[in-house]
Parts: sequence; C-alpha cells; structure tokens
Amino acid sequence: MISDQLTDSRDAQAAIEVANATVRFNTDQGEVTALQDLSVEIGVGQLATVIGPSGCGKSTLLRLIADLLAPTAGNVAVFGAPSHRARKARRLGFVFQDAALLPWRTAIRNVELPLEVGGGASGGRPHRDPGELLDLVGLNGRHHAYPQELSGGMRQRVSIARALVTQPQVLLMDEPFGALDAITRGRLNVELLNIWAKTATTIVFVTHSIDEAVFLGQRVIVMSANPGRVHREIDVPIGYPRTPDLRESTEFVTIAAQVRRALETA
Amino acid sequence: MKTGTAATDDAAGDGMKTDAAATPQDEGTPRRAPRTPWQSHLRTAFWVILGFVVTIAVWQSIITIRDVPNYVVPPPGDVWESLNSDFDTLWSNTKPTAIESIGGFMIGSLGAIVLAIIFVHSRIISRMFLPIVIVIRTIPVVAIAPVLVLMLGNGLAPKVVIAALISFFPTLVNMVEGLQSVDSQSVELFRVLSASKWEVFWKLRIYKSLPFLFASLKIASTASVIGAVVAEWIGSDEGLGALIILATFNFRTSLLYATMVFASILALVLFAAIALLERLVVRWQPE
Repeated sequence: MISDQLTDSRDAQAAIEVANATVRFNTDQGEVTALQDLSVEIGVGQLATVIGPSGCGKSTLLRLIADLLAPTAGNVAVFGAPSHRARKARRLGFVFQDAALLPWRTAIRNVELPLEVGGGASGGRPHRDPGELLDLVGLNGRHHAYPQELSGGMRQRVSIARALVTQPQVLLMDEPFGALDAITRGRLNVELLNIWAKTATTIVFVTHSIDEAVFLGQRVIVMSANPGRVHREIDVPIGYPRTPDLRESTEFVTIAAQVRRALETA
Repeated sequence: MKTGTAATDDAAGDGMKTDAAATPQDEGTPRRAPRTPWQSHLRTAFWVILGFVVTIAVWQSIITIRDVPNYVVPPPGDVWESLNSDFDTLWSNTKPTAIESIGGFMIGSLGAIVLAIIFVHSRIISRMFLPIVIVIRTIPVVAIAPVLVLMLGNGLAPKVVIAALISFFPTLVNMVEGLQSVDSQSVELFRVLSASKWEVFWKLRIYKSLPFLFASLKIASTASVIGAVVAEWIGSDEGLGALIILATFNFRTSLLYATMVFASILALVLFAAIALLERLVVRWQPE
C-alpha cells in the first residue's frame, strides 16, 4: 500500500515544488548564499525528512516553502500555486524548533490562536476542534495548563496541535524534537507517524538525527553545505506502521548507513 | 538565634521523616516538611521586623554614644512622638501630595504608553522626536520645576506636571523596548498565520510588553512621589514637600523625620498597588 502511495504521489501533482531556488542573505560578513540552485519535489501525502550538516540551509528551505523567505532566484510552488497563496489560504502549518507557544495562553488557547488571526475560522474555512486535537496529541486533561507548567515534550505536542488546527495540507517541521531527551523523542516520533496516518498531511521534517530521518521518512533528502543544495535523495522502502523495534532491523541499519555515508561526502 | 531556629526546624523535619519512614522508596523526598505559604510569609516578616529593630537600636546608640544634639538627629523616640502628636498635620499634608503624585503618575504613564505605541508604529515620528525626548530626559527635575512653577503658578498644576514628567520617561523607554521585544519565532508564527499588523499588536506585542511596562510603572510610582515633593519645595504652602521646608527652617527635626516616614509610606503604598495589579494581570510569569 505504501509503495502504491509512493508511486501515486510521484506521478500526481506535487504538493511542494521547489525549482532552481537560490537564497542569498546580506550579512555583515558580506553576501551569503544559503541555498544554491536547489530543486526538490515532494508528492501529495508524502513524509520527507531533510538532513544535513549545520549551515546547509535546511531551515532556510523550510522557510522558503512557508513563504517566510522569498527566493533570490527560482520558484516555489505549493499545490501548483505560489507559496504566499498557500500561506494565506492556511494550507501550511509550521512547527518551530522550540514550540514557540505564547506563555500567556493556556494550551487550548494556544491551539485556538490560528483560528483568531489572519481571517481565522471565518468564511467556512476548514478547521478542527482544538480540544479534540489536544487529545489526539496526548494532552488529555492538560488543556488549561500554561506552557510553563508543561514539559518540553508536551509543549511540542501543543505546538503540533496548533499547526494542525487549520487542517493544513502541508506540515513543515523544523527540528521539532531536537531539544528533547531520547526517550521523549522516540515516543513523539511514533506519535507523529500516527498523526500523519490519521491526517494524510504532506510533511517535510527537518532533523539533525540520522535515526529520526530514516525512522520517519519515506524519503530522506540529504543536503550539503556551502552553498546549500540537495546532495542525495535516499528512499526508505519500509512500510508503515513503523515501530521502535524497526531500528534493529537489517533494512533500517543498511539505509541508516547509506544516509551516514551520504552525509560524510556532503 | 539563627542556629536555634534551624535546630527546631530540623527536629520537626526529622519527626516527619520517622512518621513516613515505613515507606523506604521515598528516599528522594526533601528532609524538611514543606512550609505552607503562611509560614514562609511569617518567616519573611520576622526577618524584616528584626532588621528594623536593629537599625533603630543602632540609630539610638550612635546618638547616645556620640552625644548628637536632638536638632541635628532626633532620637527614634522623638520621631515616634512626632508621628503621634503631629499626626493630623502629617495626614492633612499627605493628601495633596498623594493627589499630585497619583494624578501625575497616571497622566505620565498613560502618555508614555500612547507615545510608545506611536513610536513603535511610525519610524519617522520615532526618528524625529525620540532625540528630543532623550534630551528633555537629561534635564534634572529640580531644574525643570521652577520653570513649570513660573509657567503654571503655585497651585496643583505644576506639581502634577512634574510628577507626570518624572513618571513619563522610564515608562516610555521601557514600553518601547517591551513592544519591540518580540522574538523572531513568534514573528514567524504570526506570519505563517497571515496575521495582520493589528493582530500582531493585540495578540503578541501588548502581552510581550506587559512585564516591561510593570517594571517601569513600579519605578515611576515611587518616582512620582519624589516629583511631587520636589515641586512642593519650589512653591507651595501645603503637602509633604512644604512640610519638609517648614520643619527644616523651624529646626523641628523630629517633624522632618516624621514627614520623611509619611512620604516613604506613600511611595510604598503606590508601589504595592502596582505590584498587586501586576500579579493580577501578568499571571503567566513563573513565580
């Protein structure tokens, strides 16, 4: 079934299409090229992970797709339209590295934020029930807790719920579990796969961890630095649901080794 | 004294421990029984009161040992007596000063908040007028006070204006900083959500600025009392400032000290009111 999904998504219209994108920044040290002539395509419903050395522009790539940055050259399309249209139509959800919750709002009020701003839930725009979403990410009974009363893992769960409340078609995740301990991280990886299975969202997941990249992704995009570009793309032909035991399988270890070698030459 | 309390405390803690000793797994629980909030308040109050007692004792003993004349430094007993016998005078002069400080504080803070919002939203206005604001800020209040008395006369107005001026600057500077204190991730979050400038202001910037605002309001609340008192020195026949001048020229040193006590209490009451308001409004800050 998963292989079907894979071929399907490759053939159909891409959810995300980055074509020959270059991003340059002007800094005090002069002009820095964060991304150089980068092209990548991610199919509808796919879960792609992005890995690479520090400064390879992983986060820049996500911000480019989210229309938080404009490309210096090249094109970014989300469902065939310019990315700013996707952003305004609430087709994009973004999960930040450190949750970025508003400390003066309780968990549920944080999840409600997207429904209050930018046109919110008006005009019959699709949205999900914030309470149900919090239950989905495992925050039953903590809806009215303030962020500082929650652990790092719980905060990140809230921020995932917040990103999902507008029913985005694309979920962009910028090292969301990077600051968490290994146990929490492993648990959230499994839960993210469950959420993905339930919501059928296209996910681009940036990570530093080879293990995480292979465990989550249908495809691992390995980037190289100076300037940032796609170095290799490695398919992960392992079916879902994936369980933590998968990490001990020969298949997993082989692919992880492949990714590691790709990173070494990146 | 200190060791005595600690010993009693430990004894109580050990008592608790033996009661709970049946469960071996509570190895990690703290040795002492947790204090209730009331107990810790009482404890704080105890040390504060002890501090006052020690200070007054030192004050009295210096006067006794060095034989300081009463009109230079009055003994604590005389000040206490003045607080009682001159209470009506002190109280009736506290009222105008309180009105001037509170009025000035409210006008100054409100003006500062409004101007800070304008500055944050308009770079041109900020560039034009922020330097003027900074220049005015460097002029000491004592220098501005006579100018304002000349302009506004001997009544309530110059005092309120000076109290307002002195509250204005810390609040303006802090509020501008607070409104600009948004972190890049929050800005990105609101952008991903396509929030308008208005929404970013009301749902992000205002909240971010509140801790900054209250920090400066606490400073401004006590500063406004200073402003009112200084303004009363220049020209007034009522208020704590006027009473300070009167007591000084008549060598009524005990009354002078009693007036300082009243001025200090007034400032503390204003400070406490703002601190209370902060606790009611900024509930999300961890203790």
